Amino acid sequence: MGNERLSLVDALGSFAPGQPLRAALVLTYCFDGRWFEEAVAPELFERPVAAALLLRDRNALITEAPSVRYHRADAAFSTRVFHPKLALFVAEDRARAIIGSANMTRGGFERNLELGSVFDLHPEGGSRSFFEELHAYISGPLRRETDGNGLLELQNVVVALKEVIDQSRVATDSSPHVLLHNYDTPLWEQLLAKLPHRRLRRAVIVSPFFEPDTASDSPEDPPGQAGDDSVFNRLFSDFEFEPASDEKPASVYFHEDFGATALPVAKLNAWKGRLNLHHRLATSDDARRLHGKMLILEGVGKKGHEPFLFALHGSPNFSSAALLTIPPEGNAELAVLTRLPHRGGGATKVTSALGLNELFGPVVDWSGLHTKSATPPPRRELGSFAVTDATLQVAGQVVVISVRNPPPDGSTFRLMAEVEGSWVLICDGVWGSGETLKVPASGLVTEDPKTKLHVLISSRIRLEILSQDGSVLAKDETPLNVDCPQHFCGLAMVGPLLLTLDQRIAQAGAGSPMTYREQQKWLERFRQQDASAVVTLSSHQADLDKFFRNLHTGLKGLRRRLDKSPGSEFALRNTLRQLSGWCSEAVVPEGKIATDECRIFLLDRLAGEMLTALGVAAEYPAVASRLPAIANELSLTTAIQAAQSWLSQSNLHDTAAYLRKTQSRFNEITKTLGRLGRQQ
Amino acid sequence: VSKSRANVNDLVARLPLGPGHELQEHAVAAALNSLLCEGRRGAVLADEVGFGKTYEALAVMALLCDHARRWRREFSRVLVLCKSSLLQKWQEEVSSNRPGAGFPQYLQSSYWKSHPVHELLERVHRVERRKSADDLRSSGVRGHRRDGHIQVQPGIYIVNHDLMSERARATRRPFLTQLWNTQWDLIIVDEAHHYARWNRPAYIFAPDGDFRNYDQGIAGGNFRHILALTATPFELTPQEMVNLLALVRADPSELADIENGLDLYVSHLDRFFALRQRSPDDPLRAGAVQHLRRLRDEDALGTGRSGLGLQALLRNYLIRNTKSQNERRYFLVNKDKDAYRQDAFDKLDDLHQRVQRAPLLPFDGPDALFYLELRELIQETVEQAREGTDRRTFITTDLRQGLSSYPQVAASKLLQRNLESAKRLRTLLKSWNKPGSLRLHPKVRALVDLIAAIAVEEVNKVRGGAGTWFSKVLVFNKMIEGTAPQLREEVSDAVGPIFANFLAELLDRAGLGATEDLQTRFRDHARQALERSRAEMTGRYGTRCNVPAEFRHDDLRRFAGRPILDPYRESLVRRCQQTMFLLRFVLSGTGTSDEAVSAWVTNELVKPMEESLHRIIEHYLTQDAEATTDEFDRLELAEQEAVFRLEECRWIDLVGRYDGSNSRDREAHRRNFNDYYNPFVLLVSRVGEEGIDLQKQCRYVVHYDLEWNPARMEQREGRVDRVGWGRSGEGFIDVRFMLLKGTYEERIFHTVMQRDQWFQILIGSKRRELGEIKGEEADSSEATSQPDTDEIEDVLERGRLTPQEKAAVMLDLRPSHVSPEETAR
Repeated sequence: MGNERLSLVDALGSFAPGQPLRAALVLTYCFDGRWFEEAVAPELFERPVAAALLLRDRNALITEAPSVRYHRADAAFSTRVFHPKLALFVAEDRARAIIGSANMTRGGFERNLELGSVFDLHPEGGSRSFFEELHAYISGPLRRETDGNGLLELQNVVVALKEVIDQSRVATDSSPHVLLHNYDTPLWEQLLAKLPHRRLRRAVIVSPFFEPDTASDSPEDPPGQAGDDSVFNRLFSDFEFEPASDEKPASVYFHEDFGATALPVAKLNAWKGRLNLHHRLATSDDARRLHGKMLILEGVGKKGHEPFLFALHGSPNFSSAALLTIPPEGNAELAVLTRLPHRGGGATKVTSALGLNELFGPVVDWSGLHTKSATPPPRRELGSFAVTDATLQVAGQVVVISVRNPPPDGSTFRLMAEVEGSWVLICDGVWGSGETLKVPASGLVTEDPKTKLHVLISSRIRLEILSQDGSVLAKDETPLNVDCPQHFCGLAMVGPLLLTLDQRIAQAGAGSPMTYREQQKWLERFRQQDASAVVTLSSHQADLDKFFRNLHTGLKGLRRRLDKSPGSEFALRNTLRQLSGWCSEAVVPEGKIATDECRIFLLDRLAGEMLTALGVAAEYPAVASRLPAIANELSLTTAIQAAQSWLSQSNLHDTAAYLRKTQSRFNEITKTLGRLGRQQ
Repeated sequence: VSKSRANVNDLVARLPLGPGHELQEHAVAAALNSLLCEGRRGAVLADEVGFGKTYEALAVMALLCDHARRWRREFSRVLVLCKSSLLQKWQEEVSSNRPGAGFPQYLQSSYWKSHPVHELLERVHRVERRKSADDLRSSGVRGHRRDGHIQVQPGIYIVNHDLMSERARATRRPFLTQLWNTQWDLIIVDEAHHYARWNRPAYIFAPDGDFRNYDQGIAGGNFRHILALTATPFELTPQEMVNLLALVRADPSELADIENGLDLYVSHLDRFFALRQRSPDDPLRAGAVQHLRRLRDEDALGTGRSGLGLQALLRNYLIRNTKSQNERRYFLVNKDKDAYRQDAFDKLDDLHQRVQRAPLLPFDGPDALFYLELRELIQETVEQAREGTDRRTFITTDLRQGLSSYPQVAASKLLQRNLESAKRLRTLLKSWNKPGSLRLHPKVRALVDLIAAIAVEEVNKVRGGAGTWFSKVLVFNKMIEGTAPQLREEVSDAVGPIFANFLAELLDRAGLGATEDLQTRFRDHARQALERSRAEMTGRYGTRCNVPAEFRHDDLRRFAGRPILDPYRESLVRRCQQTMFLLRFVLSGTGTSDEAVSAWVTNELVKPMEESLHRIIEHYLTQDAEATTDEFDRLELAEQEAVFRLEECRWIDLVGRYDGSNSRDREAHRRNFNDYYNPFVLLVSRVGEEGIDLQKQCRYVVHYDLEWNPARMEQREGRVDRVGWGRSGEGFIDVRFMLLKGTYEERIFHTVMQRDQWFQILIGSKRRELGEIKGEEADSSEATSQPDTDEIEDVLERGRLTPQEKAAVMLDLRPSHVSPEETAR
């Protein structure tokens, strides 16, 4: 903590320079989309990012992101508080995870006093076991939090991380760090289980929030979980304190504002003789609010007991909701438990290393403090209707919406988008059954008649389900995503305007697309100019030749990358995803491909590349066995069917023989996929 | 020896090259001035194609010889280095055996009687192969020691430059070594641009690769003078010009100045070109022009002090006569919504803009698929070559074939490869080249339409104006062999009816009935006239007019022992039935009576034939021929002439070919193209790009494809734009470019044109533009004063150089006699 600032941007910039990112995963409670767009996105998308997913709590949204460049989703499973704070970046051979207390807000990374750690894994070093735990977390319980394309992105992250772990030559050692999440067991119980014994010399608590005071009439904890069990109570009942002489065993570092604090002062009076209180000195020059969280436990080392020093930090506050509950009714938390070397000084040394004594001052007179209870988060009933994902398929102008717990008697639906604070109807129709809904949504995209720039009107939608009499049975809001985020800069679809499909293919192959900052600058200039100055942008010399060269460069680059990481599921997924994406884009009626012949050629090549990719995959049983699942996740067959139906409809003079060959390529893909599916 | 300029003029006056050759005389004077007055060792004669550089070089040689005689110095050894195909030409030029031709004709005046130069000209040795070197040696031409050096005997040695390469000399032939070591009085290097780029010939003068080291190479650098002959002082980069000047032993400090000056000029030209889209009044653009002008005229090195400009520096060594008489206009052939349109452009325009906006010839639809697949095939082949699985690397040829015609591609070996894309291409072509459902390549289609349009235009011209005649069309296609049959067939099908209908229309109007009737009449009259002529000839010469048994040409040998008219009879009879022949008759206004036909046949067909046959008989087949010409030479020359005639009177279709695969007929096609009659169109491959004359009846030059090298493009156009063009005041030569939109050709075009712009500016080939500023100035000021409504036109106009700008930036390397103000300075 102290005076060192944890800069997300620096952590990102110094990570794997020169490598593209295979995945970025961000988990946060509060989310300030505008800040993220301004402060983080340009740095994050300074290089190509194959998969980017941000999961957040649905109730702690400060501002919605004015961008669809990365996939956003509200945590769907943790209906109460989705509290983890994680930033995970995965490059070709290394990964970096930042776990701490900071939310994705301006406060979290610029204003507050936060506490967090950076973990690395690379072929030569790092905490492999820690990342294995992280992998288990994101591939396991975290999957419950999202659906649809969000889940697909998460799967991409999982695969990418798995490959980095597999590449690491570090032995699965006993890392001092253990990753803890509370999807199965409350953190407190896990903590107790990790400790060698329960005799403590000292306990240090750093926390901005706490359980409610007894005086408060709104119990924090959800019913049926931990009851009114107090975590302070548990601290003093589960542990036996053996403090050094004339020392109070427990210290609490907390925040106060002219006496107002979240600390349950009245409750704590019961242990007044055993507690030292340290308040954030609001009068100091450093006005940062405390938001960091840490629990330090120092075990005594006498009478045959092993001395120990453990630190728990991450998302959990020192509250019963964080430490004693599990989702969905309780908080979802993510923490790191670190076993520190126990040498002279113990917890004291940690507090001085963190600079707590400079930032906090002892509270002499408790009477000046009064508890100000935080407003509890809105409660959401278990099993209530939720829209868990909404992704716009740009090429087809269809929104695919995933829902949970739809009302059984819904008869119609209304899809609306938030435009400048009000809700605009995009589409309505008959509500079917099932948990996926496909809605035509051309109204979500506007085209500037002058510049031909396509812009999304909103990044947030609302789905309402109505009964037969027209009353709203259920409604929910969710961020709107797109299936080709890399084409977007903010809400503007710069990709196709800036670059034609063939150029984008070339860039994907060459791996050097325009950075986000460049795109932003371009967009700014583009918007400033009037239409007449812009017309020349997309015309080139030797277009046909360029078209060929672009395809060639792009597809070759893709193939080379696939060859370079044989047996890599990530590479295969990524390749197939791009190929099928292009395939769908190529057959869009108003697509900007010069002629139908160019389309045929492109489809022919894409089919060829798919076959090659499948052929390569078939040589690696591990990947081959995953192929049908991958194909399913990527909706490969949809893309192929679209291509096939386009081919069968196109009636082009003088190219019939050629067309047949292309069609047979696609048939072969279908056959291959079918065969692999049957082998399972 | 320092001589004043006046003395040089006296010297030059002794060797007049005849009226109309003043420019050449000026070049000779400039070269001699440089060599004798300024004490330089060499000069570059860089006249444009067709100016007679050979004659200039030989005149300089003769005058150097004369000068040496006056100062009692020796001038007796001259080396001519050239490629093997030019040996014959050189030998002919210096030979005194050809009456009325060759350089010695200029040395007939009394001044030159028994001049030592004749000794030189009588001892001409041609060294073509290693064996001929051996033969020469065994026939007594061997070196001897003089002043401590081995020297060859006096004379002119015309040597294949390959024999001077290190590899050839490594065969240890003493004669080659002697040639190498001789300290020549003069070396003439023909096609000197080959010596300025790191081609093999360059190593003859700079074995260690350093052109600035003058003490190496042939004779250890110890030769007195050197003349470099080239029409293209640089082909690809201006740096070659510096190498060329180093080859002629330019003074090292001057050479350094020229090199730096050129670099500076080129970089400022780039800057200027970048500003081309601005208005000519824009201060930046105007400033760039001013700066260039200053570099050119006053301050080549941009030091800020007045000194020598780049132009003056270059002129010290480089003498370049440029043509001024003919104007060429360049057009892009565009096909816009099925209608053809020619858009004029200037080579100094901003062509990127122009080409981008022009529709050119669309290559879309199934053809685009073909193109993409062909590119893929080529790309894969290139990659295989790079990986070492295949050695093939010369790829653009294959691509050009694809841009030429479908039969051309179908015949390509590339298509037989076992690659997916080759299979796809075969699939496409199989269905397209089927005779029943033939699919024409868009370019073939376009050419056919284009020529048909020209034919219609020409027919209208001839129909409208008495005394006018058809201007012919020349089509250049480097890759013609596979394409020519299809092109010829398709173009004939399109053009044939146009001429036939015109003839029918004329006959109908004159009440002469069908074309066939006229043909029959002509045939009968021709037969009769030839019969008479034959009888007359045998009566006059007896057996002397028989074809000698020694003739070897197939078409003559068959007639051995029969009158020499016989081989010509059938083709003459057929010839008089050609459409264009009949058209000329009908349009001649001589009437259509039998007498007129008979007179026409006699005058146009039989008389010229008789005349040349008489000449052959009298010159060569007579006993009275000069005793000095031996029997063998006489017969050979007689046969040559007879074959020429044979070629000239051959029957030819409306569309002719000149390429590698019809080498037997191609001369006939070429000669007739230069005449009034068939062919109307000549399809020319690379073979015909250099050295041949095609200017007499031609006005249209069509670039069916492109050469990478602008010098070659210039050579193509130079077939027509040469002395003798401009028969009927047609104004300009019409040059058309056929580019396929979106394909590699666009890239080739830009590359060529970029190079060509250097060409235009640095070695200014357009004297017209330098000379006629005043007239155009008035035009352009008028044009700019008019309000411009068409935005696109405006953009295109903006990329254009104004005449003033051209005058300010183009270098003028003509010998200084031509521009009086230069002499004054």
